[in-house]
Amino acid sequence: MVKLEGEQVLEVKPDIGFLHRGIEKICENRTFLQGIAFCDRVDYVASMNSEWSFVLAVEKLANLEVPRRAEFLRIIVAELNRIASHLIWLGAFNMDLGAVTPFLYGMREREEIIEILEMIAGNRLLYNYFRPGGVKNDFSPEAFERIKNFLKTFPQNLKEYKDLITNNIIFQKRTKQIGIITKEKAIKYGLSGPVLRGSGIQYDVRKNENYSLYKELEFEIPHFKEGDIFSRHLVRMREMEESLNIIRQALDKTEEGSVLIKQPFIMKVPVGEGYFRTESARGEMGVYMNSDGTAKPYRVKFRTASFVNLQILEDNEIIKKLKLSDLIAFLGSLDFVMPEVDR
Amino acid sequence: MLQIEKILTEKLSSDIQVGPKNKHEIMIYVSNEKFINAISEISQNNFKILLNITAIDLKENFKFVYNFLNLEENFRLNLISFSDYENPKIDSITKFYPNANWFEREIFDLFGINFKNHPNLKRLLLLEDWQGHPLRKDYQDESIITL
Repeated sequence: MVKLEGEQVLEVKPDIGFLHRGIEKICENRTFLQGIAFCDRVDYVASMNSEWSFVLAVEKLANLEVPRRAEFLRIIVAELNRIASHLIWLGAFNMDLGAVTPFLYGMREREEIIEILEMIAGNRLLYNYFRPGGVKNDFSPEAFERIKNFLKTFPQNLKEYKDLITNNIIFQKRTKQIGIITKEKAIKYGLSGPVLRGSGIQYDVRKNENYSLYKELEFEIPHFKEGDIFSRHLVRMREMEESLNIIRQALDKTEEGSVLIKQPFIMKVPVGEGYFRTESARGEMGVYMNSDGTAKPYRVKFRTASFVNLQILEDNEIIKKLKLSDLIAFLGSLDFVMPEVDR
Repeated sequence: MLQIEKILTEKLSSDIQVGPKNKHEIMIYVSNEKFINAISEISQNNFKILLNITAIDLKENFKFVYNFLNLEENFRLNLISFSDYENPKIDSITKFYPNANWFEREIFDLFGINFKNHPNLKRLLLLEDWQGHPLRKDYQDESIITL
């Protein structure tokens, strides 16, 4: 709900909870393997990363070791999903600003990625692909071919978006120097993901927490210091290029081996608790898990990036400088999805 | 000994207990009464980011887990506190960490725990006039049918 005076915004009060499905309560009554399918639904736009946080928690608490081939396959799939999520953001953000064409351009590229993931995991949107101790199945040779073709054709599309959108004078006038989030506010509100990196702080959970085999790959963390909507846009465009880089290196380094350790009949996790996190497309995705030694978790909490990033709307200093059309662009640049906010 | 550990054990000696630690994180237990003093020490000592607040229903009491991050040294602090079952309450930390606002509202909504000095303690995810607190272990509802 927005309080307006003419076109000037005075106050914003988000009203959430319309998509609350009680996933945390459901997970308390399901085994760990069944919980992975529910984890997908927490963020259905980029679901590989939500599954990764959950599976990472089970593996760290039960001390399971993941084979190297499975780690590289996980990295490839997660980065493909990051590109797909950023393409949806590109389309939806531009449609909010009034340009309808980039939406279909983004969907055209995303269709290729979704078909690759359907060849790998069997499903277009909600994959259920990760398992504690590896991944469900290996890639087929056709999938490897299609990924290599995608790596060849996608840079041309990125150049197209740069000419059409980033260098467009109307887009620049609507997004430069608007909706500025300073460095201090970004830290105070605990923001994460491209919103944080657009305000000048070089922080990425992939580099700082060093989970999986990201330490063997070389990639940069794009960050820009202005903190306006245009910087956040540039961060996401550069992240797509860096993801292509990561996939290329991971394809070269993938070695032969198994993709899943031997699974027990009923997976029991020893008593313990902990908070484990990964970098999803929107920011830091964390899972707090408390296990009491049985086959079902005692408490699972999903800390999602959209829930935390949305609280910046209650800060009046940033909001009072916006007019109504700037507010729409600001909301688009935060890139939040409602299933993550409500769970 | 880490610096934050030293500061907390000096100022709140008997109400603090240090748990397991390694080079990435440390776990510290604090009592409910001295909780807000520990928070003010932590927020002045470089732990500027609040990552997560969780509440757990342990059937005899409630347990709270707070996760903080030190950006420069890339180090995490897990603070654990308890409260009793009959009348659960704990101090709100919104004046030190503004993003605790919605975390605490969600815990009030789903567990029924009272946060003292919270600026706007209303339900967040469920309807305004919902009865009961769903995430408690003894929550009953006629519309849930177990097969």
